[in-house]
Amino acid sequence: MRVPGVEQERKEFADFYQRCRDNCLRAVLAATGDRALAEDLVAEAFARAWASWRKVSRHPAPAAWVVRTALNVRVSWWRRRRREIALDGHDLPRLDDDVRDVDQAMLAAIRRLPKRQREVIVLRVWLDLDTNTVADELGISPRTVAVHLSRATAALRAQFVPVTS
Amino acid sequence: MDEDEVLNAMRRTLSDVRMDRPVEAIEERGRARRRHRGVLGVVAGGGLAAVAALALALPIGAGPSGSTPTGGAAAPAAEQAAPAMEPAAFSVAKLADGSVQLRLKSKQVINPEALEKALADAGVPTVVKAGVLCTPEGKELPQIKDVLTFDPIDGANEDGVYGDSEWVIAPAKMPKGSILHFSVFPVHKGQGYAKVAWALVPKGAPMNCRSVVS
Repeated sequence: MRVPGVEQERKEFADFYQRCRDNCLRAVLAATGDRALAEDLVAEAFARAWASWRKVSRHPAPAAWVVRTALNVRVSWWRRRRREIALDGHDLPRLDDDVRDVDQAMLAAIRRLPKRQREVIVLRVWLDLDTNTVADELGISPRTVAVHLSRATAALRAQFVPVTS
Repeated sequence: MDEDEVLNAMRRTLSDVRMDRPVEAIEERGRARRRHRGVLGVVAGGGLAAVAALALALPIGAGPSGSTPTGGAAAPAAEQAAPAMEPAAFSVAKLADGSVQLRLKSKQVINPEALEKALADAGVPTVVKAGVLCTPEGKELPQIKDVLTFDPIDGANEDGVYGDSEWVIAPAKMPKGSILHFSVFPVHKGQGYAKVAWALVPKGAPMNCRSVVS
């Protein structure tokens, strides 16, 4: 028999997953450029969120926690996908890449951004976090977030051509 | 385009991307991590507490000296757990959900026959090749993603050595007639088994096995 408190937690987590999963996937996809890998990473990060739900649910931006966790477990998944590891625990270079069905030029442009700019873009665009929350999440000042965002958008602007109908 | 237009254009570019994994699968994986974390946390503490914690799993065997079958289901938990506490190059344990946990210790000599037998005893049809890297000549079975997960273990083991590895295998999800093919092999002359590779293939599928020693 389930404890009511546990049921409540499951419902909260299911609501959170339903609400945030697509945007978390888009954010991680933007950062990795690999659809299959991004799905695995986000699934793993949500699983970790559920495993530590009492802590994660109190996080100011749980979706940001998921995205950052997903990006932090990336190396492990590379190893898993490669089906070959060094027994001394040292990582190996990645050998393969997946076919992508999204705008590769845009994703490539995002991946070329410096790490901080990329993090700001991902959190700002796909998680729709405001400047202060992004700043808290990354441990930098709101002013620095604004500067990174401005530089990143300037670099990406060249990738888009406005379409008029 | 101003800044908002750029950001909106980016949002639109990925707007068709959807995450379609069911929440039940996410929760199942999360619960497995919770259980796993509990076991590992106590093992790291060592001593009697570790024996009690390992009762969560049913150790099937440990290498390199070969498998160590457990007693029956009614055997005391501590007795069941004891074999997994022995110093060994690998351990195989059956978890409560029917999955099988394989751990390989870093920098220890693996006995391929013992590993193969321990996995077979745990219900995982396995071939272990030693000394050569084997990859499927054809395509690997796509169910590998459901059958096997791999995680490097963070931190040092009880011997103070880093680099242990862990696989969790779901034998129930293996397609009928399939096997897991592991190969452990050296990469430098005179060196022990430095790497391990794996694949899910139909039994008897041709494998391309070759030495990669340089």
